[in-house]
Amino acid sequence: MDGVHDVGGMQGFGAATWPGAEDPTHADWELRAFVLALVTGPGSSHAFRHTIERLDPVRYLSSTYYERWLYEAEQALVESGAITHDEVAAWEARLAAGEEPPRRAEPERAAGLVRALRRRRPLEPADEPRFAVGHRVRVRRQHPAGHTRCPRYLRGARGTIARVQGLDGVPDVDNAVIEPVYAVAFDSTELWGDDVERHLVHADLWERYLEPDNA
Amino acid sequence: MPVVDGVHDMGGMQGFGPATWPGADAPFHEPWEARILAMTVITGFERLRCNNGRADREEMEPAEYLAAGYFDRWVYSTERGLVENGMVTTAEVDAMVERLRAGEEPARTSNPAQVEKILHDLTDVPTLPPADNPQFAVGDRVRVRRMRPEGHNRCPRYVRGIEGVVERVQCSDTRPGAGAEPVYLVGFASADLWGPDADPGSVAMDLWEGYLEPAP
Repeated sequence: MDGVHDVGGMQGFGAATWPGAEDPTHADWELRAFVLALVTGPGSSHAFRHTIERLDPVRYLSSTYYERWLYEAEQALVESGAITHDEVAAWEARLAAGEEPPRRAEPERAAGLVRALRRRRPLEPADEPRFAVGHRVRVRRQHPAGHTRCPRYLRGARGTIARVQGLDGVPDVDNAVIEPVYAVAFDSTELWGDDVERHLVHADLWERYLEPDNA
Repeated sequence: MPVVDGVHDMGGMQGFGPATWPGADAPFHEPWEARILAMTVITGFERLRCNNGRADREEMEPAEYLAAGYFDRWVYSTERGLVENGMVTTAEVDAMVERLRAGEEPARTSNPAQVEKILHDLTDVPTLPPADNPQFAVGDRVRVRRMRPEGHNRCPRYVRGIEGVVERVQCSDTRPGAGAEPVYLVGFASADLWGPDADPGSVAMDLWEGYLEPAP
């Protein structure tokens, strides 16, 4: 889905960074939203992202990073039938009226979550990648209706395989379908014309997004 | 740095809801929309402002831009042009909004001669001259240049880098940020824009010569 979230190559959204921007959170509730999304999450980062990408565009642009996470958590819980929007609205009213939020302590579950977060799972090496370092490739033209991690601004552009990253789940299909992911280097002039400053843009792209550059 | 490839450039994007719906083709949906149209036209024709409304609207804050209706954006660009030209101040606009909110009747003026002149000017639009020495002819294969324009432009992002065919040499017109140039109607196959799985069809659009190069 080529929605407003796909802002690569676009302008007008203000500064990408600023003093303090690198802090992991900027308010206490953000940490809680992070944990809530993690604990209740669909288990697939692709489903998670796709839910956020379907936010109304105005709300998407007006929301901060963790506001989108909170939206995702609520949306996923409503879709799975765990809660209803009415219940959320009722709770908002109760909290606004001064009621203390219910608390629960599950130290074992919390410790398990932390362990899971710290566990690093390197990608499986790709046995028979179609492309090798140095190969010239072209990003396929496509217009997917569902989730994808192929940014619009790279489509049709020619680049060079800079690294074979390993095997990873295909966002457009399912995490169970794995295929090679490549770091592809694009010359800035290929993306934005001859008048821009020369530099490289690297993007990790799944094999199905690429075709050999025969030109 | 001016906003050039901003959120207004939605061609080829998804997720904004239906492009049309019953009643969408009505010219106005609120009486104030007709007034802002008149205000925009009058302030433009009478040189009370000299801004490029379209370029200014593209610099609206993105979420504000998306949330605004078509004529909400005209309000923004017309007010901005009048402020930049020293005709009104933002404080005056805010003060007037407060007075109207408090129930004051809007000030009215009547100038039939001005209305007649502007209605005449609106309908008496000179036709654009024919293209002078066009580089491309009907049937030529062209490619839209990859670019990072430095100012307002009318070359949508989604056709950049795409090959198409010149279907018509339209006229000569002033390209934003440049001079008079030939304008071409260029046809693109949907598969070239969106890949082999796209519905078959074509997209045709007017593009200035400066946006095009011969297809390699």
